[in-house]
Amino acid sequence: MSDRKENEVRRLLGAGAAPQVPADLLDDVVRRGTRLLRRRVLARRLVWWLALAGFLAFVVWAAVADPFAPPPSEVTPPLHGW
Amino acid sequence: MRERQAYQVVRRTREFESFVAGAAGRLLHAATLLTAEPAEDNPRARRLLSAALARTYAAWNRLHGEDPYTFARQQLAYRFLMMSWRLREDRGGVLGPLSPQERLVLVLRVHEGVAEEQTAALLGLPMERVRTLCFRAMSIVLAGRSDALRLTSAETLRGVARVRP
Repeated sequence: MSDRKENEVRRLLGAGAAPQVPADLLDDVVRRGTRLLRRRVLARRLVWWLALAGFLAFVVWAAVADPFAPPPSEVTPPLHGW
Repeated sequence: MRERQAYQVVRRTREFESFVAGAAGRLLHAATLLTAEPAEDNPRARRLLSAALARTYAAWNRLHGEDPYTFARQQLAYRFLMMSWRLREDRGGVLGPLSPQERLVLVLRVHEGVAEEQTAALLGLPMERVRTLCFRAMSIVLAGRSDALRLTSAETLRGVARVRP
């Protein structure tokens, strides 16, 4: 489309009164942004605590249940000469 | 530690304050075009703007040299797309007759002067599609201007018809 038409559309979009920015916009936005940040920090902390708790639980379980010990042999050695 | 954090918050708020002072008017105009509301009654555009700016504030320390205006505009576009099924109705703005996607492309390309490639990347569309959408949107807007008078009189007639018992 030609530049002339684009300019015409741009003029139409800019025509009319510009909307008034609300006076309390900044306070509102900073409050909401702070809340978002705090929530994000809390979420991250929660994930770390969960990971740590999972790791500790695993260590305790491994120490008690000893799951990595080789299983007892199921084959008896051959018996000779008695 | 705590003092440094407090200092950072103060600095961020001050930087953000001057950013909002410079950018809010223009962004609100774009948002009002997107929601197709009249300039003096634009609650949806205001909500869109404050959500986008709140995210910009939260991301302020992680922008790493990225232009905050570009970031805020991106947030505005994403949020508009996410709720476009609710914002599609024509509330009397210039772009009322357009679909949400057409409004977004027109506002980004023509009002904001974003390049075709960036618009396509932002919306996840092929460039060809962006060009088509923009072309169609401009045609509708220009056509609407030429028969605006006729439309107004048609609406007046319809209004008269409705008033009659």
